[in-house]
Amino acid sequence: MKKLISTILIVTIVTTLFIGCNKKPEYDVYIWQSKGEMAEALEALTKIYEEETGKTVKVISNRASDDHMGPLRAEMNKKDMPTVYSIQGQRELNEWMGGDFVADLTDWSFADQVAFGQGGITKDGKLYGIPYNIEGYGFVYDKQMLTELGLTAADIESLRDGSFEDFREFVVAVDAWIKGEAVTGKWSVINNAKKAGELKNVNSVIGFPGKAAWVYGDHLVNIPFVYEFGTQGKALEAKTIDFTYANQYKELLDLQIGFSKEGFSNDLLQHDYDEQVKIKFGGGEVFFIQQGNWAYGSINDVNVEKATRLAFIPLKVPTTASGVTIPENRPDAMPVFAPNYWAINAKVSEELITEAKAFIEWMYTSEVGKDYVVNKFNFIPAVKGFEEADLASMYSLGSSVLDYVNRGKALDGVFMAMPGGWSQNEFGKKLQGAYLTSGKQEDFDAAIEHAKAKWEELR
Amino acid sequence: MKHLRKSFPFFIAPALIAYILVVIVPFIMGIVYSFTDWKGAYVADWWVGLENYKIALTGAEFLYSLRLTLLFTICNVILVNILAFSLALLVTRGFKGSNFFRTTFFLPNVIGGLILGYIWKFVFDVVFDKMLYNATFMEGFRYWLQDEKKAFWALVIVATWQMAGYMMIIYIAAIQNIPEELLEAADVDGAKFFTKLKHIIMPLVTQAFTVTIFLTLSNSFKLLDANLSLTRGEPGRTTELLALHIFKTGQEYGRYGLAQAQSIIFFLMIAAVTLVQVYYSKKKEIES
Repeated sequence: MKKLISTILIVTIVTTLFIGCNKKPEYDVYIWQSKGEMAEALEALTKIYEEETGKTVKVISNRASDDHMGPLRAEMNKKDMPTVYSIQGQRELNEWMGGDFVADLTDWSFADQVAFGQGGITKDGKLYGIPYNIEGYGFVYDKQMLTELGLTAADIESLRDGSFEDFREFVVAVDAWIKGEAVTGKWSVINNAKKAGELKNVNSVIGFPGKAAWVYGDHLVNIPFVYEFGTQGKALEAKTIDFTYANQYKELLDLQIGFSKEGFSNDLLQHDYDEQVKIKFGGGEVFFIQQGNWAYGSINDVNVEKATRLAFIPLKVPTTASGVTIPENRPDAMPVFAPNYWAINAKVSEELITEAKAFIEWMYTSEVGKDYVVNKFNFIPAVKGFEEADLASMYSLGSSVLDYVNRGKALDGVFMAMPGGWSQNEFGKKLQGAYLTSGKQEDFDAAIEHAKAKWEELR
Repeated sequence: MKHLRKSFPFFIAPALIAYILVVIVPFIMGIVYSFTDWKGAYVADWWVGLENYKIALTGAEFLYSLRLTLLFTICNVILVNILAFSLALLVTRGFKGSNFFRTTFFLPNVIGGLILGYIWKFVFDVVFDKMLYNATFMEGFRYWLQDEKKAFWALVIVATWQMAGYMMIIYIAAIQNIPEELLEAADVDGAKFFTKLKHIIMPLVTQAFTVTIFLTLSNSFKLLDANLSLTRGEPGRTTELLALHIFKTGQEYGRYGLAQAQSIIFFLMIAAVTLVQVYYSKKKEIES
């Protein structure tokens, strides 16, 4: 009898463990997305959708922004897997296609709406993802600070469109002014500026986050790679890299570190994104930081006034460095790219695929959806159908990115095609381990050699 | 007794099933996966032979982490045991408030390793660097997490601090088990404290040494949480212990098959080292 009871018990325990997996899904749309900043807004939008249509939408937002693949892979192992999920760039598209997770969206009527620069994410002429938005990065500056320094709008424009050498000359002049030295030459006008108002806290020209390997491992390295590869697709095919413009990269890195408060020292490694954006830039200690439009939220948290006056100057590299010349240098253009794409899971039922498509289309075309996209998600939309009126309320850095797109001054985000783990762990961390604190040429060369070897190994 | 035997499976079943499902099955799956090109969400290639093992054993970073882990383990085992044993001797001397100290020394063990790492990060970065260095200008307070040698020792300090309390409890139990009459007899013979320590206490707590060295050895080898939150392997990748290295291979590089192979190698190593240690420690044990 006892044996029977225990057997029954065991059987019940085992079956309850498995039973959970066999129910019908309790949702019509299951979204798994990777932008932590928009989590609440997206929840709110799905509530509106549920009320309007009577469907059920499940949303999971990944909040650890530096690692979204780990949790997503785990989620894909479940039977009830996401029907809509996020893809970041060609490398991830390849991985998901290897497992047949990506639905072909080419014939979807909404696909025609995908516009701006690179548009959706494609492979062999087929569309696989709709961009969330577009983002850009460069040197963020506060217009008011430059104005108080004595610069006119034309001066700022000349910095924006000028060469690396022009920008450097300005940085050197401002550095001299901060140190209380007399500025001669082109920028002598800043001698008249007082260390008051917005300039009272200034202690260096540029703020650099030594701890944030993605800033110099992903974003900064994109500039020389744009000239080496041209597009994400080319970079994805490359079995090896030459790092042809390594010296150009070094010039831009040296400029940022050399004119930061810390310089090449261990102090540099104490600064992460938050220190760079909120304390240094938000607190008015520096004129420039290398960041993207996403920094707006952080700056807005510490200084609402300042956040309204922001714009970008492109990251630039010298045309010729150590005898190597970039054929078509574009110092007036900045990287603008779609970091996230909505992909639809090909492994779920036809019905769920249709539901998933309906939600995405509604999000980008209905009035309430558009309002959320621009004003609540703070997106620079990358699909057609957004009129100027819709975009009028765009925040400062967003408008600046849009301005570059409209003037045709956008570079590709090639860094998204680098092998997994390469940019931050192999290249960024290698620089961080030695060159960032020593500033020695041999440490830089070692990092470049290491990065080249690892590219080949990881591809 | 007969009754107990009948209900035995009844009591053991839930734990056994849970153990099989969350330990044995994943372990076997892990062995299988280590021979495949596993992408995390799906398997791209079901058989790659020993390729993953070859990559793991020839990878410079893996071998670096391995060396670092060995060094870390040696330092940690020695420090934890010296500290735990000294603390145990101290709090068993029966002075006033010794219970309070026992609790206090044990406390770090109750806090999770992740949180502990963040707390110590604050101590090293803010208390040491920003406050003490700016007040004293002593180089010793600077760059605990930015200098690779100091960051290694920072990790040892945190791990020692965390593990010592638990090991202390084990030592206390062992010390309290020593028959009072042996110590009294020694006292009568006029033995000094160190003589008693060497000839009575130490030999009689060797059983505890077997256990604590085994625990510190395997825990130091497997340390992940404090490593992740305190240094994250930085500066560069100089303080990346094996567990963190394997974690990154899977999560950040997406090479789950390789990470599995590394885990198996890791497992075999820990098993070998700890078995050898337990075998030799057991030989030394004596009954009182």
